[in-house]
Amino acid sequence: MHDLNNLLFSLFIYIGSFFAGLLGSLTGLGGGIIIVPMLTVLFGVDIHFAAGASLISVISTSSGAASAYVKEGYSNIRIGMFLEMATTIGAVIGAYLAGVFSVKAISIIFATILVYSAISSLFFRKELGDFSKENKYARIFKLNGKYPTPKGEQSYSVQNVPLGFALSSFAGIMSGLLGIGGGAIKVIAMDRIMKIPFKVSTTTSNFMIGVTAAASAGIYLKNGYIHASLVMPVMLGVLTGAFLGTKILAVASSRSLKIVFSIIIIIMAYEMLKNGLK
Amino acid sequence: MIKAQSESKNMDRELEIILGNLLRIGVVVAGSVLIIGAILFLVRHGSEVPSYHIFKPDSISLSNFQDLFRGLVKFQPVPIMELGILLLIATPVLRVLFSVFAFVYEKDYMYVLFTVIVLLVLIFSFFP
Repeated sequence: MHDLNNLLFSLFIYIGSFFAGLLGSLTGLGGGIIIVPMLTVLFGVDIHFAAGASLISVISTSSGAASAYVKEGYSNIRIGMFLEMATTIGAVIGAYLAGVFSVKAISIIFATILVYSAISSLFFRKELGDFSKENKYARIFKLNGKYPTPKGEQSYSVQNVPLGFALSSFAGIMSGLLGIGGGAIKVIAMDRIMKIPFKVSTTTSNFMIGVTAAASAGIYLKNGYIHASLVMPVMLGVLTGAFLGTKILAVASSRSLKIVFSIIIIIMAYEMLKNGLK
Repeated sequence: MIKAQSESKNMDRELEIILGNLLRIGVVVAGSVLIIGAILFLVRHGSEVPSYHIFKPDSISLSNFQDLFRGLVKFQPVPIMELGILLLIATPVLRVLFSVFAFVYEKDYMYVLFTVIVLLVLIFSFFP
């Protein structure tokens, strides 16, 4: 794939990024988790530049989809802002580490994150029915909320706040290190640990990943890892894909979202591991 | 049972809608600038063969605002695309900035503090 001229290279990357953006939007991953393996494995791009391009695309997904998600009434801005304290500090640390770690190390960490995401998504995907147990920290930090369901407004209370906060800072580190939105880990932290309803966690995570990625992007800019002619097709592809994704989200079920999510993750984990252990 | 926070939740909804629209406008502007740069880039350099596996980290001017500005004045494609990227990065930062004011307006000082912390981390990442 290295002999392609700029026009074809941009076109192919655009098409790949379009589908990444579509799935990233539907699953709350932000597309980055698929973009980096695609650029490194399929196109032979250096992982640092792939991560840089991915970060920018993550910001575009997040910001572009925000208004659509807001209208649906799923996202919770206080949960988002509360956890962003953890994710942005983590992102800065992770982005510094990206300049220190070897390509091999980053590839292996990336694959590990993918495998973990897939396993946890496949084996613990029960939708939780009871969100009504009051949590002390959730009350103090005003994290409880409501979201629309076919049966009317559903109230929920956020659980395990300290652990969710800690896991969010880890998500931030991974975001900065790998150039992903960290949405995969955040959805796990919010969905599974904090027991936030899936559509709330997905859309709130989508809101958060843009801010998290911006914190990483500052460091990546200074390291020179943001390359305009590579970012261009990635960002435009992800943005148009994500736009289509927000049109579908309201009708797609939690369950089918998670199955799509798991299949993609497993394929990508295999490719990244093969690449990393080479 | 969950305690009702309906008053602040209604405010949240308005705030979120404003922020959501703000972000969308930012993305549309950044995307438009990027597309202009992209068209120029592909017209002028479309047939050249890139080598993305052997990037040189210093090959771009994004971290150097003077170079960027000079390139913009000359209407060069790469600096235009870089401007689009910078505008895009600015959208979530602006979102956090506006959230500070929104929480001040709501008199939710705990969340003013939280949002300022996030803003300071963002500023730190751009200016070490």
